[in-house]
Amino acid sequence: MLRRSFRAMGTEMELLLDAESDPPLAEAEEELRRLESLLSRFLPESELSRLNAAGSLEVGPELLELAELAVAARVRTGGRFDPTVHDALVAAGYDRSFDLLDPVSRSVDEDGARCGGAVDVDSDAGRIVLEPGYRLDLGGIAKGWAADRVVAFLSQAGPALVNAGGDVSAVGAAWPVGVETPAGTLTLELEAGGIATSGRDRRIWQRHGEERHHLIDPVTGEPATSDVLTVTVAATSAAEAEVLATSLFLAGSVEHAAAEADAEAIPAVLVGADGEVRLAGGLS
Amino acid sequence: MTDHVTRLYVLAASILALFLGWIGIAAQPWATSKPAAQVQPPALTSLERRLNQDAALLAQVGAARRTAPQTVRIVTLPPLTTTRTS
Repeated sequence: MLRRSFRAMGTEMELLLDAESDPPLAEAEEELRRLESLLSRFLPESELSRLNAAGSLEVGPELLELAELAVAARVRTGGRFDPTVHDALVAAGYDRSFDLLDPVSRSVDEDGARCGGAVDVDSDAGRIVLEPGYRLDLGGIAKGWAADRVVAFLSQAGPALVNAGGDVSAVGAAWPVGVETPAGTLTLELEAGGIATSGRDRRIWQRHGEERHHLIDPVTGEPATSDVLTVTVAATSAAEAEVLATSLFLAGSVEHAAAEADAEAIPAVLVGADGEVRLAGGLS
Repeated sequence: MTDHVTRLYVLAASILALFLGWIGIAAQPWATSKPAAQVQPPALTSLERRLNQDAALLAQVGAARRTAPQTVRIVTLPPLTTTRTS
């Protein structure tokens, strides 16, 4: 089993490959770094930053595909997953890479920003047009999408798994993936598809004495309030799992999230703020 | 004598009819003026496009099946990696 770990996209990356030769892992790392250079909102020269600055831009196939996926996810989740939360995140204090973020945010005091802006993705023209006043943040889906993309590449060499900061994409074998809970680590066996976790146990900071986190409720434009601590979901891909995990987190409570997971048969591990672990969507 | 001459005329007329028929058949009056290959391309192009579309669709279905959710289950194995809030 070959293993390679490194930092990219503002998080820890881990590549596992059941093969003899290492070169595919080096190429996979290079690809993840290339995708970061295109999709990061914290790099001023990234394609995403240039789109956000201009409001309209002819973009490459990667950003086009990811934007299409994000817009489709917004429709599918009834607006809970929203790629136009950029300004709300900045207003909440998440205005730079989390590695550089002061645990006690000193950013300018701002009210929650509006979300739900129009995003026109013209595949034929290769152009994305944003509604004036809105900017894109693809952090909620880009890591999962990148993991799916890279695992597809690695699968040519053998069974593979990519863990992009918690967004796991796997193919070709039964992979045991751990889920951290207050009761200990739970192991899910995944043969193909993705697993992702959304929560307010990490990527948190203080602002005006209050704890803030990165999961914005598009209705209020503020970090969501919920008795859910984390949601872990298994789905057909890591990108899909990330979208569903965010959507379930924004259901507002463990009860509602579990009911939705059961109704839609979404395998989910829910951890409440009280530390209680609940399995839903067919997991038992 | 008259019968002999008549037979000669009939023989000559038969040979002439045979040659005229031969020429008529060799001319292939039922064939179109253009080669068949020039008539078929639109149909072949359409067929090729449809086959390409079918192939693309099959590739999509195959890819979807390869990434279809397998049974996710809880096991007691130690994990090789761990998911966490991303």
